[in-house]
Amino acid sequence: MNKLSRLFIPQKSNNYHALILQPSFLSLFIVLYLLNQSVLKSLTLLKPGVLGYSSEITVEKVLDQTNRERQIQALPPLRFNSTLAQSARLKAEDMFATNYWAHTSPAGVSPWKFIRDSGYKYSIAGENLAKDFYDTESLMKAWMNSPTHRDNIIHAKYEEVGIAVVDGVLGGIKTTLVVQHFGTPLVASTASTPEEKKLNSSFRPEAQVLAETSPLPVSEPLNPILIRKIVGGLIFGIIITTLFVDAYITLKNKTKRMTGSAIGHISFLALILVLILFARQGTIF
Amino acid sequence: MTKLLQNFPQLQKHPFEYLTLFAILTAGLVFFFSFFAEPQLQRRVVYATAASYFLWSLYHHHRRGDLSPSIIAEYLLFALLGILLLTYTLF
Repeated sequence: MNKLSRLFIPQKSNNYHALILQPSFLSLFIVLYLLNQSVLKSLTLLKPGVLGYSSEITVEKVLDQTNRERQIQALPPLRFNSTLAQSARLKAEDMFATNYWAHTSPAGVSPWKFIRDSGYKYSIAGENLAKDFYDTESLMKAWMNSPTHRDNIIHAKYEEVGIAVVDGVLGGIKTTLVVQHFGTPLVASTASTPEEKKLNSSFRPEAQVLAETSPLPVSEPLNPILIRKIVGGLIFGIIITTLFVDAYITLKNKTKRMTGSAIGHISFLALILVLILFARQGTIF
Repeated sequence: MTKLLQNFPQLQKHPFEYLTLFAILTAGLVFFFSFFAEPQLQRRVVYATAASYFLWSLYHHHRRGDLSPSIIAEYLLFALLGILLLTYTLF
């Protein structure tokens, strides 16, 4: 019991500084955390698909929220187009099949090829991509906060959209890819030459919603993000609790000691906690 | 406020040093969220904030006259742990 108290409570036997907060134990926590990351990484390589998660995102929700954003800008809603949805689905499947995360594949295949191959003739087109998001609200928030993705969503020239929400294994981890292909049919436009938006600047093709594009995985994979958060949260919880206990007892006993500032450490860790809690999930492209 | 500060003698003794620390951390918070859709820039903000926190500790303990290898290691490890927790969780 006395040994345990040395870990958390400042006393003579630990030089009036909780052992958990001393460099040796902090190093141990870092090693344990890195070890956990290595195990997760190894698992993705040795047993692809064991790690990952399924999201609550659906094509209907993405379409609904996309049109809601357009409505706010007083723009007409985008029509769902099944050909664009097909091209969006093919793009997502291609990313899973050839294991890449980009607008243009490693083989140099652009989004426009998927749209053209699906049989959609466009005067203007664009693409939005996202992965690792759990819910539609966070996904839309991330897109709307990115000027290039936002441009696609509220582009006045787009008339139709196709959306694909596809689950699969990317880089050894199960995830959900969301592809939006935007477009305006050639017949509806006076433009004679198809306009292909710059991928990472202002435009992307629209996607359309496919009912069959949101399959959920049959098995429940281990969520690597959740595992990371649990392990990180445990380490964080132990350290911050010990910091408070250590600071309280030191203040109460008016102990003079040569250690780091508890206020400094607590402030820094509080910032880390706020960033983890409020930063967005997932990535967009 | 004065009564509250009496409970934290370090804050009372070194108010400007702690104000500097809070300014560094607030700047980190603001910059991080201002680069909402740019993970690369957010990552740099995290590194810069952790580095500033470490540099602040050197200055703070130098002024207090108790800068020692153990204290340097303590801050370095706290900064490293903060970076690892954030980057592995978010990026």
